Amino acid sequence: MMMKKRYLIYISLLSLSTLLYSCKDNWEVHNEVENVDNTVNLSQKLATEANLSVFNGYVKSTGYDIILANSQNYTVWAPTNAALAGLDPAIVSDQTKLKDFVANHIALTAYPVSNKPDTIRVKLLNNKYANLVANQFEEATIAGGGKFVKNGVLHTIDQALVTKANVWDYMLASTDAPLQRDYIKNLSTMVIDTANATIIGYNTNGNPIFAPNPPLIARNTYWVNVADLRDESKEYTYFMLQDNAFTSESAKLSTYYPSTDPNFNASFYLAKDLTIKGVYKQNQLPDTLVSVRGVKVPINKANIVKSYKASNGIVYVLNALPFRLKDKVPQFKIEGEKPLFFSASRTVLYRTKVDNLGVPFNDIEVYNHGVAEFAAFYAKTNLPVVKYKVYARAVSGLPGDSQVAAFTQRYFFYNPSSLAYTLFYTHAITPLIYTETYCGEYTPAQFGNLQFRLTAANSTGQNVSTLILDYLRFEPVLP
Amino acid sequence: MNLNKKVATLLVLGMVAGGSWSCKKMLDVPIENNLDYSNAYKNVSDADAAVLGIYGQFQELQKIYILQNELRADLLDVTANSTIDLQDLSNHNTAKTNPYIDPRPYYKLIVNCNDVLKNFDKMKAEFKMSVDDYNKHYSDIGALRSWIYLQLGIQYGSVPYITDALETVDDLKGLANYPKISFDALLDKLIAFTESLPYKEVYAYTAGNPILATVDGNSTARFFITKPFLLGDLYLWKGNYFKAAENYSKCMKAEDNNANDNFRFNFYKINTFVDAVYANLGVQFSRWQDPSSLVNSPDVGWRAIFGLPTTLTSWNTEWFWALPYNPAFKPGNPMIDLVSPTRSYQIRPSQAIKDYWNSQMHASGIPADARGRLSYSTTLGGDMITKFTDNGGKWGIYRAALLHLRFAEAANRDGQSKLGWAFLNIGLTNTYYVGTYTAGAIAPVNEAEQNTMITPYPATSPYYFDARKTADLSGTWYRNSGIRGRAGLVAHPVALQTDMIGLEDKLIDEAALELAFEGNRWPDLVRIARRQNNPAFLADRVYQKLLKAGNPNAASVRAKLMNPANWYLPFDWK
Repeated sequence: MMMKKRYLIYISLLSLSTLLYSCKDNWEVHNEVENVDNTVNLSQKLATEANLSVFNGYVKSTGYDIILANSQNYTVWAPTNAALAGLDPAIVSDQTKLKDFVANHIALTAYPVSNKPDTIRVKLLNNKYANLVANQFEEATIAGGGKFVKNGVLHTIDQALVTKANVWDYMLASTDAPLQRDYIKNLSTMVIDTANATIIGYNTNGNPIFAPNPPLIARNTYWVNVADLRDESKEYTYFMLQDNAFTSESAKLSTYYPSTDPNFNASFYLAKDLTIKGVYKQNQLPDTLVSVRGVKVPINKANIVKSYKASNGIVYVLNALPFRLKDKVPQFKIEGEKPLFFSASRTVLYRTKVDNLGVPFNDIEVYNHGVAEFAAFYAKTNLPVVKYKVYARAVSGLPGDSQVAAFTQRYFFYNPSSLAYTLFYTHAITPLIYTETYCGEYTPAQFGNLQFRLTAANSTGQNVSTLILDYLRFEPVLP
Repeated sequence: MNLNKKVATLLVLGMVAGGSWSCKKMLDVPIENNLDYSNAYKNVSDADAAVLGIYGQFQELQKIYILQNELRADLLDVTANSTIDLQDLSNHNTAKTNPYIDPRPYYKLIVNCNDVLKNFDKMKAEFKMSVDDYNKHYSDIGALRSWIYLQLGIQYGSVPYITDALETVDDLKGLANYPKISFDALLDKLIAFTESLPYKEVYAYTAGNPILATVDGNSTARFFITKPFLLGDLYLWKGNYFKAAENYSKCMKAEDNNANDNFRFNFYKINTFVDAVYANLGVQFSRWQDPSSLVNSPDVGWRAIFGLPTTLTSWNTEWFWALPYNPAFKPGNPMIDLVSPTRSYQIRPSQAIKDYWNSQMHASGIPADARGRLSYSTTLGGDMITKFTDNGGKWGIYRAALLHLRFAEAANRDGQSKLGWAFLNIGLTNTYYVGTYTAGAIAPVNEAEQNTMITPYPATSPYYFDARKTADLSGTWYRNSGIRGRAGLVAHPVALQTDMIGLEDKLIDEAALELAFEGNRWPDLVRIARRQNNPAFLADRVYQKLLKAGNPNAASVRAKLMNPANWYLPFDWK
């Protein structure tokens, strides 16, 4: 009873304070919508605007007047009659195109004109996205603050916005870079057509099991391995190389990436770095961008032949894009602490140590394992064919490390022709050597996987059979 | 059980009264559900209920205690969400209206303590309670009041020392007009009063007393203030280092004569012993040199100091005084809201303490002090301090690590720097042993070598510890591993064994690593800066916190704190 009484007091206090705070605050005033006409819907409002009568006619003929009369909220950016005067007659005459054109000016939910310069990505009824920045709707300018009615807002804009193609469709339709276009278009693999395959059960992970010989469908690998340029919700900057540029850049890479599989050949290693995340307009282009695959792309604006603003980004046609070879055939490391597997199951120390300069680093140690020639295996995929200088770093004897005696370990590379690991270098490790040790030159026999084995001494002795590796660094020798 | 009912009633009463402080106007609302005052103290069960009721109210001081002692110092920082009042507290720039500088919550409890003490006197006079019960109950509440006054002295400097019972809370209105006494004079009064208490043992109540019970999954055994610990603190502040060491030593040796070796070797010893039941509170890595193998669980290892339930022996080997929260009952743990990035998120670890943890190295070469990762978690919303909230959380006040550091501080100032160094670093056995080693292990070949593992003081001295360990015998203190030893850190240089000021600095630094956010930092800084007559000791540390947080007030706050008068909060509120 007593508690109830106290709760009542608290609740009344709370409601009192809510009441006090429910007055207008500045934020509300700032966003307040004035002059709402709650007597009409968008469809009716549009019909009464004399300078939007042409657009209203298109809305009616495509049936969108019914949609704009229903109870959900919409925003209509309606071009003026003057703006529609120059509209391509091919759009007006084709009902499908006209419907798409109208839908390109309507969005679900109401967007007022913001007085902040933030970009809002607005999804339109034709599933394209438009950028809304203050009173700029894509290329068009919004006049005034819009007219609010009971199911949304009607804006007047000074340009007709013809539906743009996305980057992918633009590339396929373009004749500016046929070699690149056809190369990417033909990058396909066959995958199970899950929509039409028969599911006969599910495995323990919950993934479906298909009936034998399921129907297959071609899938472009560029969408998966680089970027899905069809995705309307993303934005990309995409470079198309004219044929001579595509040919010469591919040729530069051909000795390093000699694969005949189009998914791994020189053209792929060129094309994978032609897509950049985000939109960089011509006046915003820096001298270097980084591709979605993490490679530097040098930009010279003088090489831009033309550009196209796509619905999901921007496309530049270039007559040259001279990549640096060292970015395309990069140096790399095999990290000791990232092994694939071991020759035997033993306690492995994944360590964090601090070197003489106070810099922490991660490495691996296998100590007192008692297995002669104990080995840890590593791999690096898609290794280009080039001569490498190989350096190793292995630090023993740091605080906490039991290995304070000198010892040796060996590095083996797998030879795909002899089908065996061959000794590359025997590393004699003395404690507290923080520098890299040069191991020699290594040239892979063929493009593909590098398999590396870190092997202990042929001994079971403590302090003798230890393995320690921070990393192996491969530095390509380039012309 | 009748007791529980009474406890509950009094706890509710305490909460009603405590809650009324949160809003000024609430004071004017008459409290309707009061017990009839004259019937409250009839027998010893009522006395038990009064004591538990006081501790129930006391628990509500945790929030202000932690915020005053940590946010004003250098280990705890504000977040982007923090209220202006908390930011001001951190910036040493508080307005009169700041609720975190209001001393009345302390005084309200003092008034209640005074009232309870008066009634205990009355019960004794009327033979409603035995002399033995009176001694224990009276001393308990008396010592708690001294602890609160020590807090007031640390925070406000000069304060009114009120020991008379005020009949009602309204008398506090005139608090600002009471005559104030200086911090130093207050310490004298507190020492005199606390020493005059009739019962001053380590444990407030002896086994079998009905006040010691397990209620709703929590043991009440560690609810009550540890009087020799408090006396040690009072003497340490006063600068009477031998008396401080003597009282601390009494706590350290509280279980030294226990017939059960599991108690004798583990309780308050600070060790790395791994035993699922009796000791498991060291920093542990399941694989040597591998930081990813840190045992980071509120139930095992160092973090379990804060996470284990109060009913487990292992938890009791560390704690003297801690008040647990139970999510099912009020008062709720106030720290959950303060530390959680998903809630109001008012406080977080400072960059200064994170840097300090990261500058340490584990004996296996792993960079950083693992106690950092065990004191806070990194989440997407920000760093979340876990010490207060693990497994529901407790307000932990006195624990063995604090005791060892304070004892080491007192011993160091009393000229026993080597002993202080031992408790700070690698423990007694390894520090004091002089003799034969076999394959790196201690292996005395005669009794003389063996006896070097006993500290060189008479058996009656507070500095006497038997840490012998051979195949044949185990001294009571042989498992002591030192504070840094338990955390797995490498020891400080041996040269500090003869460097009093150097070791004192290291002891305070270690307290930051071990006891961060627990409410000891500001008192530590004030005590040492006072003792060394070196305001920069305090000002520089606060400056570093603000500087590393990018706080533009860093330099002005430092300048302000170079004047000791500005260390104390104004005894003034609105």
